[in-house]
Amino acid sequence: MKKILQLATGMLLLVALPATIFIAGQRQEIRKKAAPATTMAIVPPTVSKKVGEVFTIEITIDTGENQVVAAEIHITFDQTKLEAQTITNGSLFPNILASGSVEPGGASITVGAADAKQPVRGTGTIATLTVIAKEQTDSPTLIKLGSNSFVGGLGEGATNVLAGTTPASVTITKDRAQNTPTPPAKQDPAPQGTPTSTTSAQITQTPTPTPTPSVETLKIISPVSQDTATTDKPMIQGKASPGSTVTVTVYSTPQTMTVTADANGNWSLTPQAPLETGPHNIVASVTDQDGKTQTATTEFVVASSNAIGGSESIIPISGTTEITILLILLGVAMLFVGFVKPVHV
Amino acid sequence: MNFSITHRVTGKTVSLISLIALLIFLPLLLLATYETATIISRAAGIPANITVNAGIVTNEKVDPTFMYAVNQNEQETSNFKPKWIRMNQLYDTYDMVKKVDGALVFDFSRLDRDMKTMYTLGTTLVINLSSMPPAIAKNSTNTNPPTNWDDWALVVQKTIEHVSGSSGLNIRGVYYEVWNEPDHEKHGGWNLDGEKNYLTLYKYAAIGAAQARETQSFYIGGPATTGLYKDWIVKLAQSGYRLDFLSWHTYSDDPGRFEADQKNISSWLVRYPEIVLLPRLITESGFTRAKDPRDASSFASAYTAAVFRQLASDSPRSLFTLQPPNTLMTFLDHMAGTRLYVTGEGTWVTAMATKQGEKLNILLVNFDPNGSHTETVPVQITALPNGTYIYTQQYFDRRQQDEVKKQQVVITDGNLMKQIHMPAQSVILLELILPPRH
Repeated sequence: MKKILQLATGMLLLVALPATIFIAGQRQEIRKKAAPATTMAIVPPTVSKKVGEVFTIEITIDTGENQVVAAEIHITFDQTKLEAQTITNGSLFPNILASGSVEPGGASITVGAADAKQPVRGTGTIATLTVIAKEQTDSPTLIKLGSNSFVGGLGEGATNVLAGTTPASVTITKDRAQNTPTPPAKQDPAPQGTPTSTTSAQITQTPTPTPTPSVETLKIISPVSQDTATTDKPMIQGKASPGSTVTVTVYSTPQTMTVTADANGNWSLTPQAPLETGPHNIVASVTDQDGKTQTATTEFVVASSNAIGGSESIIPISGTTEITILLILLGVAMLFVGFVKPVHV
Repeated sequence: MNFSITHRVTGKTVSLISLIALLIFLPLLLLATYETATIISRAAGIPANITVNAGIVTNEKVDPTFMYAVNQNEQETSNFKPKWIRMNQLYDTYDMVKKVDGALVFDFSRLDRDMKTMYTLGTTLVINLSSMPPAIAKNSTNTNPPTNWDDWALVVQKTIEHVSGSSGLNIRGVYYEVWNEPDHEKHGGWNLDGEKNYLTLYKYAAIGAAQARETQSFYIGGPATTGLYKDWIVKLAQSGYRLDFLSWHTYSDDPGRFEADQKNISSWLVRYPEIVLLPRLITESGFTRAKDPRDASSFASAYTAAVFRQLASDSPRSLFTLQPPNTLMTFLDHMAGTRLYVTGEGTWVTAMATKQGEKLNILLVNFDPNGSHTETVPVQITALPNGTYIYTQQYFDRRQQDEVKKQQVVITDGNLMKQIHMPAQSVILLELILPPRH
C-alpha cells in the first residue's frame, strides 16, 4: 500500500508540475505590453528642405500611464548635413532644469513639470529644435532621440520610463523642395480588413505608368502599433492610392525600400536584411500627384529567437519552460527510481 | 701654460651639469609653452555675431529676482530691496544655546533684535544652522559633532519653533540650511561616513524639524558644500530624510561653471523624480572666495552679468553673490520677460534677449577672466514688424554714469542691424520699443 501511495505521488508530480509550469508560461506577458509606456517622437517624421533652409521640429511626448516630472532629452543627427541652432522647452514642461545646448551633431535640454504635485500626463510638445540644412543628402538622414535620453516618472524610482522613440527623416536637396512636410497621419490601431498581398516585393519595383486618380489615405496595416513579430523579416503591409509608390523605412538600423500599391491600393514587402531583436519603427511615405506627402508610422517589436543579436528584448522574459520541465522530469524520475526496490526471486 | 676647460672637466661632470640644467630649465620651458598656448588660444577665440529672432517667442520665462539675494552682513550696503536674506552660521553669530544645570537653555534676544531691523514682510529668509553650539559639542569645539545627537535635534527644533513658530517670530517660508560648507576643514571637514558623517548631522536636524510644533510652513535642506558634488547630492537624495531644497556654493571665475552645474545636477536627479524639481539655492558664489580688489570693479559687474546670462532660464530659486554689484541688479531687471531665440555668441561676448509687452531687450556681456578683451559686435534683430521704433542703448559702469542713447529707427525690411562697441568687461542693454498695434 505504501508503495502504491509513493507511486501515485510520483505520477502526480510528473503530471502536475509540468502542467503548472506550462500554464504559467502561457499567461506570462512581455512587460512592455502590460506596463504604462512613455514614448517620444520627432515631428514631422518626414522633412524635405533645401540647402540653407532653417526649419523647426518638435519633440513630442506621450506619457502613457506615467506621471512624468522631468525629462533629459538628447538629440543626435549627422553634423555634416544638419546644424542645430537652438533647442528650447515646449509648453508642456514649463521648468527648464538645464538650459538647452547645441553642439556639432547634437542638442540637449532637461525640462521639468511645474512641480511634483503637477506631473505631466498626456501628449504634447516637450521641446522645440531649430535646425539648418547644411548639405544635400544622398539618402534621408535622421534626427533622432539619443539612447541616453531619460524620462523620470513619479513612483517609478530610478527607472527610465521612456519605452520608445520615433525619429524624423530629413531629405535635403539643392533644388526646389520636392515635398512639403505634413503632420503625421493618424495610425489605425487595428487592421481594416483581410490584407491581400499581391506585391510582396523585397526590392524596388518599377512603378505603373498611369497612377489612378483616387487618393487613398496611406496606412500601415501590419504590424500594428506595439505588435510583436516572431520572425526577423516580418511582412509589412498597408494601403495607399492604387499605383502609388510607397517608400518604407524600417529603423533602428535604417532600411529603405519602395513598393507600388496594386490596383486595390494594397502594398506589402519584407525587409531586405534580418531585423535585430527589439523595438523598431516603420515610417511609410507617399507623394501624390499634387506633390503632397502623406506619412504613416508604427512601432513593433521583433521577439524571434532566430533574430540576429540573440535574445535582447527590452524586458527580459524569465527562462524557457521546456528546459524547466525537462529538469523537473529528470529529477522526479530519479526520485521515482529510488522508490522502486529490486525484487529478488 | 696651457689652460683648457675640457682638459679639466670629465665626461661625467658634463653629464651631471647637463642633467641639472635640464631639471632647472625644463619646467621653465613647459611653463613658457603653456603660457604661449594660453595666449594663442585666447587670441583664437570666436568673436560674437549676434542674431535675435524677434518673431519667435519661446516658453522660457526670465525672472531676474532670483539674484536679489544677499548675506546678512551685506544687506546694509545693498541699495536694492533683497528678496532673499541668508543668515550664515546662526549659532556662531548669536551664541544662543547654553547648558544650565544639565539642561539646555535658549536665549534668542539678540537674534530677535537683529530680525527687527533686517527682516521685512516679503523677504525670504535662509537660516544656516551651524556651527555646533559649544554647550553641546564634543570638547566644546563648534566643528565637532554633539556629545548627544538628541541635543542637536533639540537645538534645531527650538530654533525652528522660535523663528517659524506662532509663539515666536512667526515667520512663514523660512529655509533652514543644515550646516555651512561641511566639507571644508574650517567647518569640520565632514564626510559621508565615519564619526563626522554629514548624513547623521542632517538626520538629526530633520528629526528636530519634525518635532517642531505650531509653526508656519518652513523648509529644510542642504548640503551647502563648497561646490556641487555628486556624491553629496545623491546620498542626500537617497537618504530618505525630509529634504525640501538643495544648496551648494560656487566659486569660479568661469561663468559657464554655473550652467554646467545645472546640467550635472539635473542629470543626476532626473533618476530621482521626487527630488529633481526641488528648489536649488546657490547660497554663496563669486569669482573668488577671498576679498578681491576687483570686487568693486567692472570685472565684478561683467562677471555677475555673465553668470546671470547662464542661469536666466534655469532659474535656481536663488543665487547669493558675494559683494553684489548693487546697481547691476536693477539694470538686469530690464531682462524680465519671455526669452527670444539668440544665436552667434562668442568666446567672450554672450547675449540673451527677452520680450515683455511691446519691449524687446537684449543683454550683451563682454567678460574676459584673463585679460581686457574688447570687441565690436554685430547685432542683427530679425522678423521685426515694419514701423518706427525707439531704440535705446545703455552701458553699465558702476563708476560712471550710464551712457544712454535714444533714437528713432524706421524698419522697412523687418531687420535692424547695429555694430556695438564693447569695451573690456562691459555690460550693455539694448532696448527696442515696438510700435503699438492698431
